Amino acid sequence: MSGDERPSEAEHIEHYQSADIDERHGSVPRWLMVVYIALGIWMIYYLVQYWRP
Amino acid sequence: MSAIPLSNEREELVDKEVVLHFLLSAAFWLVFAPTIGVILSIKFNYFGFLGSVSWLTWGRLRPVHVMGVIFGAFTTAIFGLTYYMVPHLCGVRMYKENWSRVIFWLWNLGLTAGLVSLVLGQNLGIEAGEFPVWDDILIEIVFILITIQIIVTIVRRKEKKLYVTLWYLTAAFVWTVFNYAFGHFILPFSMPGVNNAAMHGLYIHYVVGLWITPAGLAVIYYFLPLSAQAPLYSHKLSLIGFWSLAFFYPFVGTHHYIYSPIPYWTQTIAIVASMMLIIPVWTVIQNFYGTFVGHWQRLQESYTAKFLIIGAFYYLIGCFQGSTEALRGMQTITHFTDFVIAHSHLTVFGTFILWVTAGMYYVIPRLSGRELYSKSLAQWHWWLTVAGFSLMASTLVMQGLMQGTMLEQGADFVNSMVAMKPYWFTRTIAGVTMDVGAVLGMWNFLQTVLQGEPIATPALEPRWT
Repeated sequence: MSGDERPSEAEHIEHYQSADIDERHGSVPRWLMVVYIALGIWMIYYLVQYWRP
Repeated sequence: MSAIPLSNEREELVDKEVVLHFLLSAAFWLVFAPTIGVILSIKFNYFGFLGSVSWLTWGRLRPVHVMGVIFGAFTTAIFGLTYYMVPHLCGVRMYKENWSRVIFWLWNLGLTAGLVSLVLGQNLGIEAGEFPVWDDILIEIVFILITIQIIVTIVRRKEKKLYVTLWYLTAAFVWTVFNYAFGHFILPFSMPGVNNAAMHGLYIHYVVGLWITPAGLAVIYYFLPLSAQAPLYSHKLSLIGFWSLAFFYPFVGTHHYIYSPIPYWTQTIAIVASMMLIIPVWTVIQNFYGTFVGHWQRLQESYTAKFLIIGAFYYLIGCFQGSTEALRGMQTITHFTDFVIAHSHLTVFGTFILWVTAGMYYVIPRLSGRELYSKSLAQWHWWLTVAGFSLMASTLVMQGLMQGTMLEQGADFVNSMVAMKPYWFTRTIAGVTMDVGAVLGMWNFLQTVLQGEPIATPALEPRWT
């Protein structure tokens, strides 16, 4: 669970009655945050570096 | 707002006959289209195999395989599962249910006519958009009608919130209504030359990324929590996965044309977008496996769970391969090799065909009111699929890298082809293994409907699904 997420909010479960599906509000794990940031930085680098041959 | 149906009334929201008809016809296409693939793979080993009859030649059968898998096997199953999932998620019956029966016949007629036309040599010449125009009108009408049914059913829903499956399904259908028209009515008749190639990259990746992917994700998001008997791990991750897919996927098409005359900067954007697809893929994978944590015993009990989880594994591998092979350095080795074929099979078959198969394991026993006909057949289906497909995927990856490296090092092209012979033979063996598994699985579905043991009430939940 990410540090800025309150446990009660992340653990809230929505119930879809007619499909009988439960869904946790959930959070974004830290390791995924790191992936998002790393890819974002790489994207900017690659676009600038390889915009032209 | 009227009351939402309780559990024992849930299946009454669905037109069972329509869903079962769609899923059983999908079962036929799930055997037919891969079988054509096996025939094609034999041609790699024996070049003269079935080569004396024009309509059984490589050029005629290859599009039958591709169109048959995408639109025959996958899409027919998606239509059936859509008619199951949408009423359940909305708490109301499908809008204009009587349309569905007409759509069933229109769709299968359109598919059959299109595939026969391909065999007879009528081909529009757009990869993954090869049915002739007169047939495309039929297919387009079907997509439009189902899209209207979905949207109006959602508008009339009793459930307050929209579950993630409905986002993906609605988006997939709306995108495809436009993309199918673009690929079949505009692209073949305009934009000559290199612009046509660039736009073809757009079309074919819209088929993969804005039809197959979101429709397949709709299926796993629906059946995963049900088969795990656990809440979906994270609504927040669903949001990130959906919007990052919608944002990045439209830009990836040009990665088929790296080092081509298409402007360099557009190739760069396609490469970046391809790599950024790691975001939605890893996000949904975290969501899927997070849902299963603490519930792994369901893999022993549910074939729906088994097919979903192994499909998610192939999804992770296939998509990472797809992202990285877009990089210029990887393209120099992998382009025009079977590495690319490994990617398309890992995603389309290994992931999405397996996910709709999982959906069929869940839905067919419930709607027919019968237990799965044979656990043993299901077990064979599972193991032959996993064994055959793992062998095929790893073989294609290895031979692709090997041939690419040989050519990179200056080997003669013919010599590189000769070196591929053992791999092509292995691929045929793997394909036959998968096909036998598919025949057993589909036979199991048919027998479930025809002579499965009635589900004992009041349990109502069929075993092994």
